[in-house]
Formats: sequence, structure tokens, C-alpha cells
Amino acid sequence: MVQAVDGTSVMEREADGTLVARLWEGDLSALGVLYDRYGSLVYGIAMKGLRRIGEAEDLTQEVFLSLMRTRSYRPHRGSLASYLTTVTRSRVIDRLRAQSTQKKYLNQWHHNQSGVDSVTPMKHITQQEQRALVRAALTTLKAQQREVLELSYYEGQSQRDIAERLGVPLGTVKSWARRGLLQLRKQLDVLREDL
Amino acid sequence: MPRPLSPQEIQELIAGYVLGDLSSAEAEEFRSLLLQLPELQAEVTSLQEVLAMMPYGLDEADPEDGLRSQILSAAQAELSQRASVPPPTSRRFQLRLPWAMTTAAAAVAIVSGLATLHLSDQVRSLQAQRPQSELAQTDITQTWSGLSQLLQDHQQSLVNPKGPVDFVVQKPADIPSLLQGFQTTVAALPLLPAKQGMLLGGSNCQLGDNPGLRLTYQLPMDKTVSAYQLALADEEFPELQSAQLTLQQPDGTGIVLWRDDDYLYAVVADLPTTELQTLAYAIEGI
Repeated sequence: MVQAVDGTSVMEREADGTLVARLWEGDLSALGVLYDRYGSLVYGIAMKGLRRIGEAEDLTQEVFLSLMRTRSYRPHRGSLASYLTTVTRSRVIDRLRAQSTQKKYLNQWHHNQSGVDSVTPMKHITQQEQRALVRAALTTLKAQQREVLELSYYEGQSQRDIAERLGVPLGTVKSWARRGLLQLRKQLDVLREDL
Repeated sequence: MPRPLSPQEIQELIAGYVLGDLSSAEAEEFRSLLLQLPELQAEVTSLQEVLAMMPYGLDEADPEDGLRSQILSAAQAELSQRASVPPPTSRRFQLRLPWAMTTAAAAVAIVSGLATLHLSDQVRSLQAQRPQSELAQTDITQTWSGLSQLLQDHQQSLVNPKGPVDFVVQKPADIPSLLQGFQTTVAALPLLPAKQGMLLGGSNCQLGDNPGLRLTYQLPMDKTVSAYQLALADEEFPELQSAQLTLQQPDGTGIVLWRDDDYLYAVVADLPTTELQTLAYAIEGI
């Protein structure tokens, strides 16, 4: 059994908020602790989207420095983990977009994501437990459902682009994505009940 | 009368909304469904939360050990550098000075409903006597209907299934040539420094008789901001002088308005008013 030292329980979230406040006062040891908690999560998202170690490291650095610099994290609006994953994902997509020679803009579902993190249903469990749950739930998705969700989530690809890339009709991609998301929720509900 | 949707179809429609892949017909269908069954909002939130869990499904990828110390060194370097320059608040104040000299003070009004926004000389002078951050309750006589149109235009752009922009912008210099029925210069555009927001693109817009443009920005935390520039045709626009006017809707949508001799500008987003004002300052380029 892995003993998780990081997580997003209510008490630890307060601790995150305190650490961020210390960081903003110039206490870099707080940044070290925050990195130990969330560095791997941030880096994982960066690697998934950018696929190059150097770029993923660079982006991880950018995310943590921006946490220090922008002071835009508000503890009452959600967990630090949600904040960091959202910021990281958004920056990954920015970079991919900048790299892309095609003229396209991000699919509008970005804005639908706002405010999501105010209540996370899994706030009472550790990051390790969350990882195990979501991974288990994802394995129940059909391969295409998962692929479409991942392309859309991590790379910000529009479903039209995904349809072109996979050589299937747009309607099929939509259906995979929608049913995949519903299936993911269903499985997460089932697995949470077993906790 | 269209056939009612099955529970499965409703679920898929909600999932499509959360994923942002609704066609215009589906978006319309979803909107009317949400009006009939407001409880579906909880379903939307639930699926958004599930989508936000996706990163936890990634294989754990541990960065190289050196990254931690590299980040801490970079942070240290940044802090040392920061210590040698004035803090941002005082910089902003200095930068605003020449601009503020043309007016007694920046007017800030926070009203609870946009439909009741009125502006008059009396209130402006009242506001001018108050500190900028103090709330000024408004009891005013003159209406500007453009405000609700502005808000509506922003909201519609967010739910437009084709995306929030008419055209993608590669570089700001291209914008004037992409507009229809509205002439502007690059210098006059409501441009936000790239660091503060990613420019998704631009759109033509028409508020009443006034042509203009909307630039759409994506901020970290996935907030979408609309920045407007509208031609001042006549006296229809509120007399803001050089002051900013900040308003907040009960639903959290905020607006900051300001103007110069030629144009009225506005930023609209679901953001706290202080953050919106920061964006407005950044756009003003001061």
C-alpha cells in the first residue's frame, strides 16, 4: 500500500493555501513543498500533450513560476490541484496551438470548464487514490472513446480535426466522446461506492 | 411538435455540451431543455467535474531530479530581480497618472442589475468625490441600452457552437483588414499583452447603430474574455470622460467600460472586478 503524502483533503487544501501565501511572501521553501506535491501531476500533463521531456520540463517550470508570479490562485475557488491541472492543460494547448501551422482556434468547450473545480467530489481522498480510481475507470472505456477524449482534452483538438485524423465521420467522433465521458462518470461512481 | 428525447439522448446532449461539440441545432435544443429542466445544470457540473479528473488517469511521469532545483533557482532569480524594481501597484499608479489628470477620479459603480444602469452628471460627480474602490450606489436618470446588448453579445459568443470568433488572428496587424463595416487602426485595437491572455480571434459586431469589433481572449484558468471596441457615432454612449466604469452582474459577469475621443471600449468576462480592471489597464497600454 502506497502511503500518500500528498492529496486534496480539506485539511491539506488549507495547507496548500498557506503554502501559496508563504510563497507569495517570498518563501521559496514553500515552492519546494508544492513542487513535491504537484510537480509530477503537472509534468505528467505536460508530457502527455507535448511529448518531449525538455518541453515538458520547461512548461512545468513555467507553471510553478506563474503560480508565484500571477497570484491568481484563490483557495476558496477550488483546490490547488485543480488550479494547476487547469493552468497546465491550458498552457500545453497554447503551445501546441502555437506550433500548429493550421489556422484554427480552440474549441469553445474551454470556457465550459470554468468554475469546475469549486467542488471536487473526490476531495476527501488522496492524489494517489484519485489516480488509481480514474485509471481504473478509464480502462472500462472503449479504446476509441478514450482516444477521442484524450485528443480533445490534452491537445485541444476539435472533434472535426479528430474525425479527419482518425478518418471517421464527425458524428462517430462525437458519439465516442459523449459516450466515453458518460461511461467515465458511471465507472467513477461505481468505484467511489466501493471505497 | 418534436418527439421528446429519451433519457439517454438527454445525457448525450449534456455530454456534448460539456465537450463543446454541440451542433447549432443541438445547442438550441439543449438551451430549451435547460429552460424546461433547470436541474440539468447539476448534470452539467457533474460531467465537467468528471472531465476535469482526466489528468489523474495519466501514467505517473516523474520529472528528472534536477528540475526541482532548476525551478527553485529560477524562482530565486526572479525574486531577486523583482526586489530591484518597484512593485506592480505603484507602477500602475504612476502609469495611470497622465490619464487620470484629465478627470477628477476614476468612477467605479457596481450595480446589481444592468437593466437599471443609468448615468448622469450628478452621479458622476458624486463618484468622482469618492475613492475609486468605494462602491457608489447609483440613482441615475439616463439609460444606455448598449450595455445589455454588450452583455448579450458576450454571452452569445460563448455559446456559439462554431466557436466564439468570426476569424482567427495570427497577428494583430491583420485584424483591421479582416473586419467588415468597421475601420480602425492597429494602435486603437483593444489588445491584451500575450502574457496575460491568448488572442483567439476577432469578430465583427454591431451594437444598435454602432459598428465595432470584439476580440476574444483565453486566460489561464480557461476564462474567456471579450474585449470590445465600438465606434462612437453620437451621444448614445454614456459620457464616461476618461474614467472607467466597472459593473458587475449578479451572475458574476463583470464589465469595465472606458472611452477615448473616438471609441468606446469594454472588457466583459466572468471575473472578479479587480481582475477585470487589471485587464482593462493592460489593454489601455499604459
